[in-house]
Amino acid sequence: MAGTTTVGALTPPRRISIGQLRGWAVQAPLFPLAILAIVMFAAVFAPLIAPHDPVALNVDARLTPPFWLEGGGSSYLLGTDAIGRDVLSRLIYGARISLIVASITIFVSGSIGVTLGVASGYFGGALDRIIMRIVDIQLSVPSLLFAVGLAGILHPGIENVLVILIIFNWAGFARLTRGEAMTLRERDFVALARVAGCSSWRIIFRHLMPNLMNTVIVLATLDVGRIIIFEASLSYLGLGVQNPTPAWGSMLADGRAYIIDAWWLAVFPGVALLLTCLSANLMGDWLRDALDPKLRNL
Amino acid sequence: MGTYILKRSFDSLIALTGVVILVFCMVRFSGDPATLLAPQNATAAEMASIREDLGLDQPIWAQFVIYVQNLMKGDMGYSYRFRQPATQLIFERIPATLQLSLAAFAVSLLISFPIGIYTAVHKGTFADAIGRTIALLGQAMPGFWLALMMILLFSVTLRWLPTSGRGTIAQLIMPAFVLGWFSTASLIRLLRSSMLDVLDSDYIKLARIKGVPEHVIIWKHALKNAAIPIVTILAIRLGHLIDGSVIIETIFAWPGVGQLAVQSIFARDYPVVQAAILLVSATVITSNFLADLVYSWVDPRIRLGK
Repeated sequence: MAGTTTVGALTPPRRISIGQLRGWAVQAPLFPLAILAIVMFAAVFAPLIAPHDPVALNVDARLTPPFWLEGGGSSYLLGTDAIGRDVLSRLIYGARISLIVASITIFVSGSIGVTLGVASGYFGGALDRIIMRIVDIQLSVPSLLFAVGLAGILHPGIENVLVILIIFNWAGFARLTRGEAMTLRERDFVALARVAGCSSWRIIFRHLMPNLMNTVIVLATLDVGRIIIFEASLSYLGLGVQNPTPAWGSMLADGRAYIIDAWWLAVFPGVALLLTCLSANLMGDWLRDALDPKLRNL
Repeated sequence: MGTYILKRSFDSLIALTGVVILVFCMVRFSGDPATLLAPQNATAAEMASIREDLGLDQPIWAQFVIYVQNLMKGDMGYSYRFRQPATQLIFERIPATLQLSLAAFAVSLLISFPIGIYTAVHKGTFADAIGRTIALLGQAMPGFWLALMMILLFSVTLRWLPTSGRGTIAQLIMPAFVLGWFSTASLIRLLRSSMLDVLDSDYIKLARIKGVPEHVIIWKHALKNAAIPIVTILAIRLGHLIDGSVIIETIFAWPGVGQLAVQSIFARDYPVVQAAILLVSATVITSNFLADLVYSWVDPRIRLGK
């Protein structure tokens, strides 16, 4: 724990220096970084790099196998689906859905969760009890079943997937930051700020938040894989992103139907999901060790 | 211990109440149930009488009171699709879900304990690296994709196992393995780090100095203490397993509560959906409650507030 020295008792916990950042950058895991870079590149530049229109049908070329198999060719590198759409192009566009869903969910639910968590931990009392009760309820309900129910009732679609994911994701942030805020509140630099006449909000935003950021970044990174898989599960069940918009989860659902004739439909979207989530988790593990070793059990 | 149990039961009751309110709101969101129940060419008067029968003409708080009263009686409404009480439909499906969840639970214990213990004892070896890779893959691989890959390998290519249905042991193997898979990964990680902590402690060192045989140290002294944090996780995992069965049951056409819930959503059969959510939530909350009790009994520091 930083700040256990005599000097540290009055100063805020260490912030990251440029030198440290450079040190970590050298040790950064290359494989997950490279994968995430490719996925992000694909998502951003999808219209430029996708060889075909992801929703264009070509019934003459339906169920074309990947290029290395007999019947495959260079125009459809990873083959086509049952109505002749290019699998590679759909994979590239599918990256968009996964990354958009993950980033919006984490940003919004993280903001809500951190605000409520810090307020809860800093002010304590009745506010804390109420917020923590809601967090407990949130964490004890079967989230997938609830999401299935909500998605069905709200009518399937990406907006509702986002709403559901945000509803189910803020509680983790709230619980973690509450604990951190409670510890930080007792530290001398916060007491000093209070003595110096800082308002509660100033203390929260100027003194607590910056010191919580490491923890929040670690949790957010570790959440990416989970959220992508959750969205894919809903899309797989037909309750998430709707056809013809390409999403990895719904592509897999199509793959289930043609698993005997066209294995590639069930394999490639899953590989994309696996590599993306694996890389995000590895990045999260690495960030955790680098920024915040006390979260080892997260 | 008494006050602790009381406090935790109160917490669980609050959580249950929260779920009931949530589900009630969800059902109101879903639109007018009368339009789903009434025949297509119903007149306005017929619609009004259906609403009256359902209590929909009353203010929202009165509807909530009726709703809770019905819940107390075990009445969660009638399935629009099957014209049967929703609870009865769910109860018919519970054995299948329970069978699958318990099998998955057994699978994840059987895999994670040996690997977790082995990798902790042989830390830093090649086997440890493999064990950790399995754990990493487990958390990153979507269960439904693993299911598809297993169907591809064992059903389509090798023709060893049936792709779906329930009845024989062969039909249970793939769903149980896939459902247990996710838990397996996190259990391996937890058990490994828990074992490492314990193996590093002073009393284990003392036992080693005394010349206690290594297998006694691992199986008798270390595992017992390393397993304490696992107890809580296990019960929470059981809840997650039941939740995860929603998608796994759908893939393997396993006739359980999860498959019924998904089918009911597409059939707009909301009473069945809400009954499924309520019953599964109640199960999860109860298992969490029991886990806390067991945990506080095994480790008194918990109930004494650390």
